[in-house]
Amino acid sequence: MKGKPKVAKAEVPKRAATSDEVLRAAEALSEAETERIEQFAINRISRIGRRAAAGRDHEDLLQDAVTSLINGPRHWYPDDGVSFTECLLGAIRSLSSAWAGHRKRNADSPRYAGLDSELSFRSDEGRLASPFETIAAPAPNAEEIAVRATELAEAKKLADAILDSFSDDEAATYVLMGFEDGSTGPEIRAALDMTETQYRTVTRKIQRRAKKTMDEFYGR
Amino acid sequence: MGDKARNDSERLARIIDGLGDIILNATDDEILQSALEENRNPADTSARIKGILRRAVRSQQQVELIAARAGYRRQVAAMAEATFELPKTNEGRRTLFMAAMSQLPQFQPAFTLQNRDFKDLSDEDIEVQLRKMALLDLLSQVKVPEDK
Repeated sequence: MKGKPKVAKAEVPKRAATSDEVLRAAEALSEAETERIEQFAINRISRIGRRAAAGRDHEDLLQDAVTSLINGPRHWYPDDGVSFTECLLGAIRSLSSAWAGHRKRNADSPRYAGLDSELSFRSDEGRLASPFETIAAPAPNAEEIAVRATELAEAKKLADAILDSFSDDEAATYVLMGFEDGSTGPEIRAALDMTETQYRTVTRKIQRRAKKTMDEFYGR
Repeated sequence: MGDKARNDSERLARIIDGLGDIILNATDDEILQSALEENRNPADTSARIKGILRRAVRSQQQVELIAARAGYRRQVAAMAEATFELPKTNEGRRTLFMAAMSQLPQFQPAFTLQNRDFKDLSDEDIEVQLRKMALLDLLSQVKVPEDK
């Protein structure tokens, strides 16, 4: 056999930030960074829906996200060149997805059903059905079907409301349609032949107005 | 559940994802400008968000501290319960400790970090350190020099 046998290089273990380092990084955040972090956390709560959030708001999400950077499963590796903000935004995204996943797997748990006071229903005998009656139901029960139907109706109503609020703005409508299709920013820009400045101007307008529509919709 | 209904749900999810991307890709100036346009004071937001993060980290540090204290208490209790054959006098224990330090040089940094000079160690400190070493079964290898 020719040549030297390949020896796998031992990987140097990454150094996770200590809680003091996380604290210092949090204290050093700029005003733009804290704005971005908060707005993204609000966005993620809207994305997973209030039922998956189970009574927790964006501040709870932030708190749990930063704790997860110390405790795991996510960590911030300051020597890797990833900024604290970037890492925290990633933790916010993955934690909110985990909340949504938990809700999906435990849809008929009282933790989630208990939030849906508007969906409390009376049984055929006129008795108010307890959410605890649904524990360990093997298949979606009447309540879960009702919850899901309400969610879908709300989703349609909100998506339509956002789109309708731009009925006077052709460029914004096209960009929103691109979002609906799941296209990325660069794909939408290319399809609509927009310059970066034009795209940024339109998306800022969308952001502002859509946020207002969503706030009104959720009564915030 | 029909495809149409599911599509409405996915439609909204994609719109919100698009809005999220706008937040992530905006420049710092755009982020601050948006805040002002929406009547938010970035300085107030910053103070509030930092407060949330600070409280979360400090509360986590408290949890770690409590766990460390519990660990220390367990260690102290284990030392108190264990019986060691240590010299009966302070002078004898100090001699044993100095012998251990010279015969187990690999442990010197651990002790010199905590105690800049061995002379500063009190009799109680010496006894605690010897108990720690005995607990780790390090003293059985140490030979005390015979009296001249």
